[in-house]
Amino acid sequence: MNPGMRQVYFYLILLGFAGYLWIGWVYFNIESNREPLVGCLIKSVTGLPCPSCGTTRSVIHLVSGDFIGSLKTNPLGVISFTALLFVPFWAFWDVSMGQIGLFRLYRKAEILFRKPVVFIPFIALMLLNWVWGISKGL
Amino acid sequence: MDAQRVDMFMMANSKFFESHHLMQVRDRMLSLDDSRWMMVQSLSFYDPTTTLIVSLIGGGLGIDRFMIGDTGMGIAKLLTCGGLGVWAIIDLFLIMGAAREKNLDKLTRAII
Repeated sequence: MNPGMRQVYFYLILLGFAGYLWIGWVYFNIESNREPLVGCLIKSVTGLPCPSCGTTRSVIHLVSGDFIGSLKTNPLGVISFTALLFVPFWAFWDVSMGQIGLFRLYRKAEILFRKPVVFIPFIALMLLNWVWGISKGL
Repeated sequence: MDAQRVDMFMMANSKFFESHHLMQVRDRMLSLDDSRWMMVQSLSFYDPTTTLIVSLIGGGLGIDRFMIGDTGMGIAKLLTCGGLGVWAIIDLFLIMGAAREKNLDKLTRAII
């Protein structure tokens, strides 16, 4: 495994771990009826939601089994939830077994996202989702 | 390659590389054939200062990572509001180094 690969695996495992901690912490806060947390720096500073605001709420809807509610909050939550389910465990598996399956997928995805046919619709969808998020007042 | 040319290149482009990589870059350039000079000259590197400015403004949306070609990390940063703001702040310190590493990658790929 070269330093570049190690860095990608380090980030993926750290992100997954942080993601589970964050979801657990927010879930615990909701269960004990405390003030809802705002994790987004952009929203705390400007008051406007960023394109990914609502992802935590969306994941929490999914955890409670409310798929429609999750889509209505922020569809990016479904992607994050799926990634959170697979990526950290796959990364951990690869590191412990000395394989590079996830890294190959990561590189393929990167190459795919550099193509204008993919990244222009992606940015357009993100912008639409952002406008929708602002109009919903996330 | 001619030492004078290499030193000229190093002087003009030293800010694009980590200081501990400079000798390595110089050695590699010296061992290159003269015919590669035009190609090496035509390479455009990511400016670490510009990436830092982009990181300050658009770090929360991962634009800095997209800019240096780290698309995967850019998407991860975008989907997590800049890692809940924490990653965006950490990246203010890391992004210049990351841009310099990318420049070394770019040069290595071009001269192999």
